[in-house]
Amino acid sequence: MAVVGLFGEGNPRPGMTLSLLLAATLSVAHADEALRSRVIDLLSGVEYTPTAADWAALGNGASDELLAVARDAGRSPTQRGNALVALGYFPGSEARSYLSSLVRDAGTESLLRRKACIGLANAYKGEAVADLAVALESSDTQVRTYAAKALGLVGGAGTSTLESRLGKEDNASVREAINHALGR
Amino acid sequence: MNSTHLATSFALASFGLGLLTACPEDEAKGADNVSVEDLGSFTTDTGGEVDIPWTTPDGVVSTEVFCGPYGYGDNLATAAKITSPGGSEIYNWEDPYGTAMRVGTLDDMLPVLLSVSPDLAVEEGDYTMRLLMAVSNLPATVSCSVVNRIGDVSGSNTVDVNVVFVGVDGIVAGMTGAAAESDDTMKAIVAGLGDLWSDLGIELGEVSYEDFGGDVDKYTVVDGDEEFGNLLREAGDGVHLTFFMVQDIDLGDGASVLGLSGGPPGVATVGGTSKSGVVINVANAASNPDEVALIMAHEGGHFMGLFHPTEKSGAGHDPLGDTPECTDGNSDGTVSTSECSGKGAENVMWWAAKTGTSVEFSGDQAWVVARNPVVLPK
Repeated sequence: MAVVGLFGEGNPRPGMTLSLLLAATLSVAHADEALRSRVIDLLSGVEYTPTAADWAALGNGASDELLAVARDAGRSPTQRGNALVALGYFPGSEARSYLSSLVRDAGTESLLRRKACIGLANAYKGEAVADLAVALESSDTQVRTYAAKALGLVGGAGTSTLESRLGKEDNASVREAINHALGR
Repeated sequence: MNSTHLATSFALASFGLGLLTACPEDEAKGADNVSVEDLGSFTTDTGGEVDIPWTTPDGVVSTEVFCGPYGYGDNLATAAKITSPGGSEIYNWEDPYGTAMRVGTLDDMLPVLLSVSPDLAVEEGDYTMRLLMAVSNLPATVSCSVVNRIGDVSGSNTVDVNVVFVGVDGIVAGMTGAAAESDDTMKAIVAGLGDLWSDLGIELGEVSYEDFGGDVDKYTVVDGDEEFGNLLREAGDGVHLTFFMVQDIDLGDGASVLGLSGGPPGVATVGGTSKSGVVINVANAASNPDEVALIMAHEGGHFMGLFHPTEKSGAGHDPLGDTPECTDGNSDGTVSTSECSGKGAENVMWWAAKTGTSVEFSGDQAWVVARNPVVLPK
């Protein structure tokens, strides 16, 4: 904002003003690019997944980058998926809406839907149960497994949903995940 | 030489059975240079410590001792110290980066490989490892064995690769035992792996494909350390490296990792242990086969005794003299690829997957790998 002010009437050196504006713009772009690069690094660990402390070190600006990566179909599935999990560290209305839409949409790619379940559960706990209950009815066994895992993360609020599904679940791996989520 | 030839039928259950029988197929491919010896059972004191002695034969080029199983959760083990035949302490866990030796702190099975650096070449004679266990019930008893490789070392080698598909044909249709050989994506992955490993002086030898015979539903998404270890137990014996290709790998926090090696280093040539292979996440295979090739090259490198040139935090480095080290210049807890340009990010063993950037191995890395028991000199 201070840079814009330099365009004010009476500025004797418009050329320098333009240079300063350009430099400031480039500086901001460079900072954005540097943050994006650090976010992508953290989403691309070969054997490493980022912690809350890693994201905290990048500041709140990381959440916008994470949302951008998660929505970018040109990014790899694991980067997008890890961004969805990481959004769980940055609760906010836009992120919640996006995570919720992925969890509820049967057409969402399996990996993204699974990761969205985790991000949603970590960020919104009991408020995520209704969305996760939809995913728990998915025809994809891996999505059901992750919905169960996510319901385990939200604690007691997810218990009745898990119990209800356990009564009709016929896949052994999903049953195991439900029982694990119920602490059995 | 007081040891026997590797048997392809060796399984974890044979720990404690003593001598193994020779396998003509492996002998024909040079596995007569590799021997497996059962060291027996060892019981710790109430502090969790016990000495594991073993002898390396004349002409040894590498030795790998491994002890377990001791389970998961909070059950961990490492080497408190290792003493060489000359009586030198070549590793002490209180100063883990103090020598050119590296030892993990691992669940279920602890493999320890010599050498992981040309600065600490393996010697002939008597070694002792002070095993240190932190498990739920002490004293604890574990079985230990040793793999020794003797004979020639070459700068030109081959590695046989066994690729096992664990329910991943939904990601790439050709990722099955029957279709992989003619599948374009798999061909691109294998070619990429060959390109990257060529910098190590390694050519791909026999590449075989098969479908996983176990519980695909359970293992196609590897969830947690115990599932990871249990999948690796399905790897067979032999002078080869087994890659399990899965839909996803989640170590418990819900996020994906791209690959994991048993160990590192992995238990070479002996199947049936929780460190007997490598697991690869193929979620990105359809859009980026080169990344899967990079991850296979990276994890295979771990299996054969390589470490990250600089760990993600910047706090640890590999024991090699010719790999660059990077420091966390901005103190954010992460050595980023951009701040480590020219300082390790170009190495295949870089901690983050950077396809097209991380393409190099160093001479010291080639030195280490050339001595691994799964590597066959040409």
